[in-house]
Amino acid sequence: MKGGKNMKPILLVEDEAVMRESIKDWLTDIGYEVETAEDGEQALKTFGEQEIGFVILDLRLPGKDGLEVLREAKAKHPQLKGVIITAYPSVETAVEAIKHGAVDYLPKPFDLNRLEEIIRETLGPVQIEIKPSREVSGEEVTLTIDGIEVKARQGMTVLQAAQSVGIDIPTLCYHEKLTPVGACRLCTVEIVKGQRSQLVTSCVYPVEAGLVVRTESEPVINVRKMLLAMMWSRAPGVQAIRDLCIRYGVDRNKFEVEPTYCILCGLCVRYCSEVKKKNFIGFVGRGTERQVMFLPGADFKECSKCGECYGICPTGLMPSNYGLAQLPIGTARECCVSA
Amino acid sequence: MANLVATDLETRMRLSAPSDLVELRKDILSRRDPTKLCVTICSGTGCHAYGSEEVYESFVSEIQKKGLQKKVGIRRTGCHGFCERGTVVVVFPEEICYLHVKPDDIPEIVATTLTERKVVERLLYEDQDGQKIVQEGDIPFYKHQSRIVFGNNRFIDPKNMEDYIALGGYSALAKALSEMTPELVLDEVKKANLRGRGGGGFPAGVKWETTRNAPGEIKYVIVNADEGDPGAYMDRSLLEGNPHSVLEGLIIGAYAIGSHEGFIYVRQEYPLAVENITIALEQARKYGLLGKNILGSGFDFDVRIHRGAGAFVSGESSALMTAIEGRVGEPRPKYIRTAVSGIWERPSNLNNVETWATVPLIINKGADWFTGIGTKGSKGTKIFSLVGKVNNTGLVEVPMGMPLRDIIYKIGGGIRQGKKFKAVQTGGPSGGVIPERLLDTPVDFDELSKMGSMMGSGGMIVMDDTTCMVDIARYFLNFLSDESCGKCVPCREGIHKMLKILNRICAGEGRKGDIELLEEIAVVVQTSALCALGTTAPNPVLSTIRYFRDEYEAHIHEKHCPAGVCKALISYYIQPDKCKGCMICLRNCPVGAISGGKREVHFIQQNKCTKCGNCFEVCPSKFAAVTKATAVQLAQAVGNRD
Amino acid sequence: MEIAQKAKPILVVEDESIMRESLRDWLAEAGYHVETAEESEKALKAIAERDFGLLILDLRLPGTGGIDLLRQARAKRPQLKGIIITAYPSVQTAVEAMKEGAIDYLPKPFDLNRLEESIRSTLGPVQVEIRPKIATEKAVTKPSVAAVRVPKIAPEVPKEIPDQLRNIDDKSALIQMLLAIQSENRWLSNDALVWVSLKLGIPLTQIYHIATFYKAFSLKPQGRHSVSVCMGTACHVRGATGLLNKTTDTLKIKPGETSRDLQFTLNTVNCLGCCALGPVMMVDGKYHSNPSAGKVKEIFETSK
Repeated sequence: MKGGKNMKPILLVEDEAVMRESIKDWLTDIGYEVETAEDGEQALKTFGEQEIGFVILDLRLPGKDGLEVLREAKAKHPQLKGVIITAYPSVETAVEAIKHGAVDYLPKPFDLNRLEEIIRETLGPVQIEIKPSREVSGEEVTLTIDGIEVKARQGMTVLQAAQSVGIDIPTLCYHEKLTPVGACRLCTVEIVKGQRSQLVTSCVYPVEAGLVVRTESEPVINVRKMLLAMMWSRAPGVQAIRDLCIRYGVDRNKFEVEPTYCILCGLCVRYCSEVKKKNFIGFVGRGTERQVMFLPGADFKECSKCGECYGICPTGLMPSNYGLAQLPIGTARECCVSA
Repeated sequence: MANLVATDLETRMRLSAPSDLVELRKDILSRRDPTKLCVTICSGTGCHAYGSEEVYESFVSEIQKKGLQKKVGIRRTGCHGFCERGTVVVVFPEEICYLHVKPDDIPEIVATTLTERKVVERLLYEDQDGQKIVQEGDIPFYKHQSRIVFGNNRFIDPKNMEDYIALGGYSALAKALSEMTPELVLDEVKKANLRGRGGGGFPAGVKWETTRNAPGEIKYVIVNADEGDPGAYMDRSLLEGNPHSVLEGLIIGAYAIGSHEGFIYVRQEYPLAVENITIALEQARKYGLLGKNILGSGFDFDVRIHRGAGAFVSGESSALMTAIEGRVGEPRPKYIRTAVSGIWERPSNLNNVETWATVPLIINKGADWFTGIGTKGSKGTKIFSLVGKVNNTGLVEVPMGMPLRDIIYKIGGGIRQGKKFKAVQTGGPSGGVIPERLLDTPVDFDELSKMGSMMGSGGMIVMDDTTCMVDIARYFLNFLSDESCGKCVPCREGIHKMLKILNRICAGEGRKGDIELLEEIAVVVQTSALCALGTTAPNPVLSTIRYFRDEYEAHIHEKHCPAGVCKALISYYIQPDKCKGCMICLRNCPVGAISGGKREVHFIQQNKCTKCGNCFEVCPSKFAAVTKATAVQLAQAVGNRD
Repeated sequence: MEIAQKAKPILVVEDESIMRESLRDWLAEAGYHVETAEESEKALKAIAERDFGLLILDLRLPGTGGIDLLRQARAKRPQLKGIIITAYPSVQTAVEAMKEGAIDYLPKPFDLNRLEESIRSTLGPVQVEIRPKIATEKAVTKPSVAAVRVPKIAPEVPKEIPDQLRNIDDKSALIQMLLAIQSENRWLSNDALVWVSLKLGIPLTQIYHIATFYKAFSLKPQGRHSVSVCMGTACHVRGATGLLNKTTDTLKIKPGETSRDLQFTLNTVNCLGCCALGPVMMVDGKYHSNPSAGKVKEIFETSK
């Protein structure tokens, strides 16, 4: 996963934990190697111990402030490049920062994409690889799925365990690269623990030793039939749903057709957020009013270049949904009238 | 210099040992004269709506006018519970209880009661036999209650911590911190078998223990004051009226669990609750009851308030925790309990307001005392909001196991306007209706579940024969379709499909097989939805079908709404023999559908009528000429007339 | 003054005559050779003709601004140094100027000592040193060099963000921030949401989800008075629908709508927690229990 194998690490010096973690996560996700420090002393120690390619310094730090740290570090490593970030921007410190050799000065809140640009200019790009969303390395457990003994690792879900031995559990909202959310509920299975049996959602239910799973029992099939009939009324004609309706013998006329086409599986939303890190698509509203929306005023140049969400839409109707959700956004003019 | 003084004062206020608390209480009591006259004015939400603020102002100015400031104290208290009769005013020390007090009544109360020391008869409660009752506790509404959690509301000015301490407040906390280990506190709560008062009735002690034993240094405790169940408002009244009792319970719980950080999640519709708990937190911090080294015990704990932004589903534990993290308050799969992985994936213990407020009592009086109250499986008392078509609406606290009939008739004073009882709805949108034949069932967690309903947070909505049960089912599904987060298919689509069916039944377009289809969908939603909102959403439908199937059938097959509620199935009709031609309905008709003249029989033109019901409402009850009729009845009536 | 004459001249580019002249006077008094220009074109011409030691550039100039001018000048003469002065300082332009090779960036009014320090670090000291004691006083008392408050935070904060929110950057505060913005402005504008998104580092799509998820938020401006009719169960069985009809008839708007004069916004709520008094409506925080049609009219009239 580490894209920057030959790349020197980035040092992030920030005293505030939330900020530190979120920037670190962001950069790590992109593929940079990130070291962190909470104050100047710790940062200077890190400079002494390893070669740092780029430093992100919070201006206000306990003890030595960001500018002092930058000055001292630059004195020892003149090639070092760095950027100052701060929630308390001022012209004076901005001028000081660049006089001291910072390549930029970013007042918080800043666009993380901007930070990435600056780093890329200095360190060059990383090769982005998609990692499977769940790295599984737990202990081995054995469970029984449809009478088959399945070996799985702790941390895996029942769905993953079933798929690993070729048992097909239907699902419309699961994707191996994305966090499972349990939205479509088609992957419902029956689990038996001692005397009790229970319906659970296999894409989020963790495997347990000795678990007995039935993927096609009667209550399971009843649930799937009903859910499919409901989905059909929303997305009539969609191949993936038609196929499942046929597989389970669903009466497709059970409910009146009320087409919205989007079944709100959220795959596009999660893909854009988790894989592309763009968050150009999101949900709006709640209940039956819930919809998928494109960011108002987003620059669709990137979307038309990417288009990867088209491919994972289970209805295959993604493009026609482009114009669907319109937000009832007010305008400044209305605001003026009201004021 | 100013700083120095303030710091000095603060250090003097800080209670650094349990003995300091005892001293403080002695000091407060020594400054108070129990025989002194004191007027308490209920300022709970109900009384507030009736104008308790004006009543308070009038008292202040009238007492000033008469120069009684030194002789008489005035205090605004939390909700007394008898909201139907607001504004409630109680004069101490005799505890003379005046009901329905209006600002105009104040001069008389001040002159008669505060000056001459006599009772104003006309403001007293009058029972069925016309007997006047002077003291609050003797009024039937109160007499049959045991108000152990809620009762202190009426003595306390919620903005004044001294009032709480004067009544022994924080002594349970002192006891827990100085005499008990966290394990002992936990054991006591487990022994008391305190079950969560916010919904399913999960044993609080077990949940605490799970959180305590879950791995991770940082743990959270949370007060759920989201109280989204329509028809329930006891948590609000507790938090508004006696915030310190909730806080004391929370600190004790935190101590038992080993948590140092707490949250209070309050819905934004309750601004007064936010205000009062904010003041309570500030006071508690000042006195060293929150913060570092509480009462010198070495235990640190503090609390933050988080306002909800209006979503019923946020009351669900995982959704509430997600909301505290600042994200969309959607539930998440809970195969790993929130007690193990809650806020920021750390062990988090959530209980509702009433549960936390019960904890100090258990610590002070012991688990044995607590288990002495209630039934086998449900111990202690429960606060219900007794509302709907009952005479005495308000908040009532009764021991678990009191039969529904006693609550509705003895405390609630029976059905309004002498109408016939039909059902009582409990448990909010997750609950169900209970018909008359089950009225003698003792109310506790398990009995309610057996009847297809649930305790929920304690809403108890009484319905009479003018309530249509299909309409009630439709009402709840409408509510839920608005409040579902929309994340999972069974809840989002299942509720929508059921609502569509109910809408058509109410519109007179019900089909054969609709009841069965409703049941079929209901079962799937119950078993496959993601969170408790979804899995309990079919309850209102299933329970109304279970007890009132005949009403569904009447709607579907006979196109008849027995309660006369479903607009499409009724018409308004003026009985010619009863109409006196008074013109009232004619003038109130918004669409001019009523014809006739002065002393002339009125007539509704059905093709113009929008069935708003105004005429029905305004027709003087001595005439009662306007009636609701089904299509068949209307045809007959019109036929007769011709 | 012989030595000072040897130093390369300073070019002051400033459109405001009083500032330009006072700078020239002071620098001349301090022993520097000074030329002036009041706009960019004239300055560029001068730079092309003569070799200056230092440029003092106003940020906002008619035509090309100070930073652009510095860039163009340095493209011609890379050794040339510049100082940007401005009455409209911002962090953004400060960073930009410094990246373009300015040696300093001084918000007006500035301490002349400070300017001299910068000049000296570039051009070296003039031999005849006049301690600018008097000069400082002069600059400070000059009325024309307007005192512009330097904003403490990024200037792009939309006006609808309440002050107490400006320094929050805890992600978990998101909903609380939105509640504060909503109650301050009675709606959430796109500008406000964008600002919050950048401030907390939370994607805008997620913020829109929250803003459309909770009832408390509105993406459109709300009326001056908020009317909520309770649809809770207790109110429902006691005639909430009737009360709602009275309200819609009187206000002539449907739930969720705002009256055209922006006086009233009508909403239904699922429980006001005032169940004993049902049916209930709330107008601007005040509860009204089962008002008649006439009373409803009166309530709205008096609240206007």
